[in-house]
Amino acid sequence: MKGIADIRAKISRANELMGRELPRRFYRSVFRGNYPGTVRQQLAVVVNNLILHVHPTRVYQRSIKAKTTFGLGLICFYLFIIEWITGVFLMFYYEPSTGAAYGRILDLHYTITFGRVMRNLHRWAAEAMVVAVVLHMCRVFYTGAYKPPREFNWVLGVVLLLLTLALSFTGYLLPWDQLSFWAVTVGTNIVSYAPVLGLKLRFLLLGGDTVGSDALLRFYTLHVIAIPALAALIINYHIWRVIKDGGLAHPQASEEKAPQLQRTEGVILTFPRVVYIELLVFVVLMVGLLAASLLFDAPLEEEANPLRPSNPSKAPWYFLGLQELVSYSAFWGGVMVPTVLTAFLLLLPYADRRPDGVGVWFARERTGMIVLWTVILIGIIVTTVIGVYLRGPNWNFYWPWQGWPGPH
Amino acid sequence: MRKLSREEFLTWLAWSSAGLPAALLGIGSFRFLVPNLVFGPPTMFKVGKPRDFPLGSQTFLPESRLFIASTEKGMMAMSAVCTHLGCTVARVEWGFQCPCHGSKFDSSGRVLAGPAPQPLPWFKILQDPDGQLIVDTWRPVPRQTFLKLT
Amino acid sequence: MEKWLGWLSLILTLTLGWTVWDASRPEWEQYQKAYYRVALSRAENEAQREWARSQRVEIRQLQLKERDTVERCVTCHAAYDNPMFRSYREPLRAHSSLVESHPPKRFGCTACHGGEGRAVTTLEAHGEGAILAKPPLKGEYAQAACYNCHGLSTLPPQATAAVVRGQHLVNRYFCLACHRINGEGGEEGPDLSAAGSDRSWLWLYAHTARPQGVLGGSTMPIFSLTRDEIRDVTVYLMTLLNSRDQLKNLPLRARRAAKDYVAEKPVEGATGDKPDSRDIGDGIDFKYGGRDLFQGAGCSLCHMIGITGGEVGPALTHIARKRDAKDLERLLKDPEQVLPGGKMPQLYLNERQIRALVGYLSTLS
Repeated sequence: MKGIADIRAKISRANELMGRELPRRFYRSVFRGNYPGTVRQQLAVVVNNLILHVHPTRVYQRSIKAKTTFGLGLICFYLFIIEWITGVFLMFYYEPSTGAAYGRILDLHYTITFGRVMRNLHRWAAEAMVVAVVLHMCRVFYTGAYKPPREFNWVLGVVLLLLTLALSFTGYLLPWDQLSFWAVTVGTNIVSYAPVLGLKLRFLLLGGDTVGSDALLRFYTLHVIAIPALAALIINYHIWRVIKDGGLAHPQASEEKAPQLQRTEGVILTFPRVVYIELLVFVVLMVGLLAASLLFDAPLEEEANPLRPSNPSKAPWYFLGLQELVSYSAFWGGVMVPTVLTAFLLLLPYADRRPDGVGVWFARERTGMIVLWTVILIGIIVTTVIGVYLRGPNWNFYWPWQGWPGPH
Repeated sequence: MRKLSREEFLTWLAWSSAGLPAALLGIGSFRFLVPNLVFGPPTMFKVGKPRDFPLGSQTFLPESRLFIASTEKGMMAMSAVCTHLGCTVARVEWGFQCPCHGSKFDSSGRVLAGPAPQPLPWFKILQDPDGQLIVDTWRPVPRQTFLKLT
Repeated sequence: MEKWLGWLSLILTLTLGWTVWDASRPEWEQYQKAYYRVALSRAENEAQREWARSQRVEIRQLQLKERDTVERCVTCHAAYDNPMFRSYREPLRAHSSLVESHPPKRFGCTACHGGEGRAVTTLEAHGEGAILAKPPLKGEYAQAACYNCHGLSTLPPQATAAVVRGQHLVNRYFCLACHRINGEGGEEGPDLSAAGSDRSWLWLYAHTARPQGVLGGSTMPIFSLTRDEIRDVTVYLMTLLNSRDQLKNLPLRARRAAKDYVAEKPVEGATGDKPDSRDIGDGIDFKYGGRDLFQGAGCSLCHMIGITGGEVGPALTHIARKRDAKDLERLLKDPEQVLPGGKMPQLYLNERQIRALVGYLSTLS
């Protein structure tokens, strides 16, 4: 009898272990603790969890209000991750050679399960990323969030903007269709207008004088490893600096008289509120991207044909503002404007050191800067819109309601 | 079992509801990796007209790694891939021999010696409506299954 | 907050469900299933029944090694090689007997019929989808494709009757009064030398029938042609291709040679004799012989050998009888010197390429 009871006890212990103990142990091994129930635990989990530890343990109530940031930085980060993941999946089928690339893209569309959605996701998320990064930058500007101590993080942001454009541009060539071939031909020719180094830079970028198999291989390598790796590093640094520089720019933070915020007022725990909101943003973003990918196919034209230029040959849309300027003057559009703009962006936080208006949208004290920025922004938008919608064959001007003449 | 409080239940529900699409995304991504097409030799293919295989002949098709034989009992198709580690076996006087690790098979594919764990499989052989013979390498058939041509 | 996350996750799940639904039940499945069903019901003996039962429903493709591509037309046109389906309706109709000389296993389908060979939906394969506009060439229209490889006068007239009729019509209605074709004709209307490359047959047909219906404000008169005549003119126009499309269906090795040749063209303004360091051709000639180069460098666009090639220049089928190796070498180096005022262009070939070409041409006697 004793033997049987013994075995029974052992079985129930084993049951306990397998049924309740094992899952719990597994959960603990992954998350380094139980589900955080108490405030103390919720503070601790942010510090203890690898992904969560980039947050502070508590944030200001104001920081999670939509109108403070519109979550644009987070959206940029999510888009980068989505690009990364979908990009890796696409790499399983893509082949960077002039003979095979286009066929592979067609196969993604035609025969690979979810291939079309995967490519569309990658494309639309990329376009969204260019937009989101620019909007994020505008948010930071209009709220004066680049002011001390955040100057260098602004510089990192500018570098990330350039890397985003570089990623998008290098990816543009990979389908090897007429659109990408001529866009990259035009885009790299804009590069060649740079003085002294222009042509050499173009030669280096293309690995030759024309867009050919070496250019494809170079763009591929830059697109899938070189630039993403660099961008990932800088993104980490960018986010780390946000915390080290004191979180989001806060209106009171710049006031000398109230250096320390009341720690209890308007402060909430990061876990679970902020984490929920972040997840929520991801889910909304994903729904939007998926729906767009199901409804609209990423552009794809005939296979690249170096003998037959498409007319008009347009660069990717985010460079069409430049191309529009190049059509007036190669020097101004190809050299001066991009150089001056980049220099302006990089030097902005060091030139504009007045500490007022931090953390406030369109602060009255900064009217001059705000007008300057808005004028530049409108200039970029107007030239881009002209380049995208109002330029037809031979770069002639057409209103949207005027049809383009056919090649015949 | 302790009863969950309403708050705990909601928390649990929220996390697991986020887990469902995450799992779906994972499964979908995995499906993406499963190819719908192979670019190698197809698994079901035409090997030629019956008159290309006269009675008593034994033909080796190097690309599909197959032996096609025409006997009095009918047509048969047998794999030429050694069941040990996948080398192509060679026709010899008394049957087939694998050049890699010395497995020996008799003329109907049964293992005589060597490390091969299984005999060489026979495959389904069919006749296409246009008269050509088809071999289906996805459908092994029992030894001594012949296609009688009418 | 939990509620929001729950609801939005549900929406995401539904969107994912939509994605799955979108990818399931492909169009070709129904054609293949119908094919096997009909084949089973029409089977006359046990062997045919067994054949029909053992077919798998899957994407099928012809792997065209020489053209370095795959074509999946047979996924839907699965009965293309089944003589029992000679009079069945498309897509389950067997191909006519012409295939004997051009077996689909080697030539594929699009070489003659156009369309997008990689696609597996009607919309996309027949070029009516968003990506490409390549409507396939059916019936008489397929005759236009012969000229992708063959010379205009080498084909038996009965096999290319529509093209011949189309050309007659173009002459009869004096199309060349306004249009230019290969350097001849007026300049009132657009040059038609590459009409087949620039336009789909649907466009050409519609435009020939009623120009103003396609291009508003067109000054081209409406010729009262019958349907068949419009078709014949269209087929003839489809034979006018640019140099790249003419090369499109050449075997792979020749195309590679062509690409290398294009890469080697000197930069504008450079002199004919280039420094050796950029002489890309040096390493290449070991990979292909003069025969591939002949097609690759574009010689075959103008010159005919046997029954393939263009007719701008003289046929070279027996060139070795007329010119010896030295003569050929001089000609290839500087055509202007040997044939002053001739059409033969300077090709900027390097020593090795000239040697390879001369070696090949010398065998043609």
